[in-house]
Amino acid sequence: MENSVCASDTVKPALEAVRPHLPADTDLTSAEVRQLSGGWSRHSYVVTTVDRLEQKREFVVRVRPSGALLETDIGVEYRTYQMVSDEPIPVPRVYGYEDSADNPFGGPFFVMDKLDGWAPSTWQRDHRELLERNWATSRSIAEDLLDILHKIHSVPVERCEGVLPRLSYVDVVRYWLSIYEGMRLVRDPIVEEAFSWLLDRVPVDEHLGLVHGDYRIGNTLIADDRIAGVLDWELAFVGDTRFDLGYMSLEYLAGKFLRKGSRLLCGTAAREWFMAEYQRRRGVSVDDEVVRTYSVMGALMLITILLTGIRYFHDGSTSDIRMAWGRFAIPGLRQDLVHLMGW
Amino acid sequence: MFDSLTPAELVQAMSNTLRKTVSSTGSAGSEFDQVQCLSGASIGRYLAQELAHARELTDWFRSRIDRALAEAASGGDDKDEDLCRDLARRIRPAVEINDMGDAIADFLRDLDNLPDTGQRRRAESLLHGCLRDLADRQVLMLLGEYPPEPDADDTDENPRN
Repeated sequence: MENSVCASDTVKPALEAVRPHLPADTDLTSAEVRQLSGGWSRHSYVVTTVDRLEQKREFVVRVRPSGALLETDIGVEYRTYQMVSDEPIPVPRVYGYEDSADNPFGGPFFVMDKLDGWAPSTWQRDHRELLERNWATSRSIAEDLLDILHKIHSVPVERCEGVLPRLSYVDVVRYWLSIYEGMRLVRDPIVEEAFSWLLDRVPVDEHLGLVHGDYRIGNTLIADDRIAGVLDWELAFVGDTRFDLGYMSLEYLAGKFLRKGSRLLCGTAAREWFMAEYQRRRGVSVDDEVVRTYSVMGALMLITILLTGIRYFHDGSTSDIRMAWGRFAIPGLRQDLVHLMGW
Repeated sequence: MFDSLTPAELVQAMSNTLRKTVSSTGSAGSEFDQVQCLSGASIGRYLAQELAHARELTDWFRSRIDRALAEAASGGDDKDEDLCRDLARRIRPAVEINDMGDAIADFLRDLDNLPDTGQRRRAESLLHGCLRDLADRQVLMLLGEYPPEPDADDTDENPRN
């Protein structure tokens, strides 16, 4: 399944499939295709084109393969990128969208510009050190992470109508609970208690806005110590924006796998600074208890996604061994859950 | 039978070989294939710890619950004792950790349907403490730091704090 479009005999049909979705002046005569290693629920390919003046241009083909980890609609993701690109939020420009799965990429896809930059992995020590050095000096990455989140949460809700679903707190909990119920191979009393804990803690108010849904430093691209783009909008929805704050606060996203990672939020900024600046810029007060609730929700979301991968591997829907490996990412998150709930 | 090298040692050896293969072949394989091999190596490393200590961890968990139930029954009233007896009855037949997980999840769900009384809260808190310690110990086990310091056995403190 993996890499199939990169084999020499299949590159040409793959390029033909992409052609109608690229800018009209794109010259594919000597184009190349390669698969990127990341991506659990989307596969990403880079198409490199070279024109007559030897100018290189790169596009990303983002594919929702069959047996993808999340049943999220790639058409919604495409329209979200389109919508967000009209806002002062750095995202790659998107081009065409192919909704048929009958193509060499094996699923619906859309095409977007490939931005320059690197995606930090807070689970890698060298990346954590780079981020921590930035925080200790210019703080430019932390400032961007904050500024962009502020801009995402400031997108007028009316702009999202017809593009993204409106999900209440309980909708989100019930959604992930239903996925857990459908995907689990065994019962996990900690996870089940955590879902029950969430249903007992419905926040009394709602900070309604555009929620990225997977906002973390690893879903950004860094170039010249600035955030050049925010990626992976497949979990976006309209709901309580404090979800993003709780999710970002997870130790896991600061680089904890089993052992504690960075002391910084997302490995990028001191948590107290980030929360205080966020509240100042937004002109709102954010209750730490609500953030803690959303951290539990975020951890459950991640566990449920990992359980989905394990289920697919178990059922033979995928041979990608990373899905089985996800079994060892759960214990650290489960440990975070019990401590977040104050057990 | 009387074999040298434990399953844990063999799995660890396979994991090391996979990792070395990726290092020595460098960019010969595709990026995707390298990530697959490294994931396999990582699975091997953690699995070796599980093979070496999972039984021990399960036995510890069972005794942790038994001890907590005994304490709760002796310190509470008749209703506490009834709840403890019910939980003990449900968990006793479970041999594997996943069967214990089923029994505990069922018990906690049933507790949820009871009125919010002191007995119910004490029973929940008792189980939460046991599950918290299990979660902490599983992490230590996967890190290759199992068993933890001896005095951690005799306290409800989080051994990682």
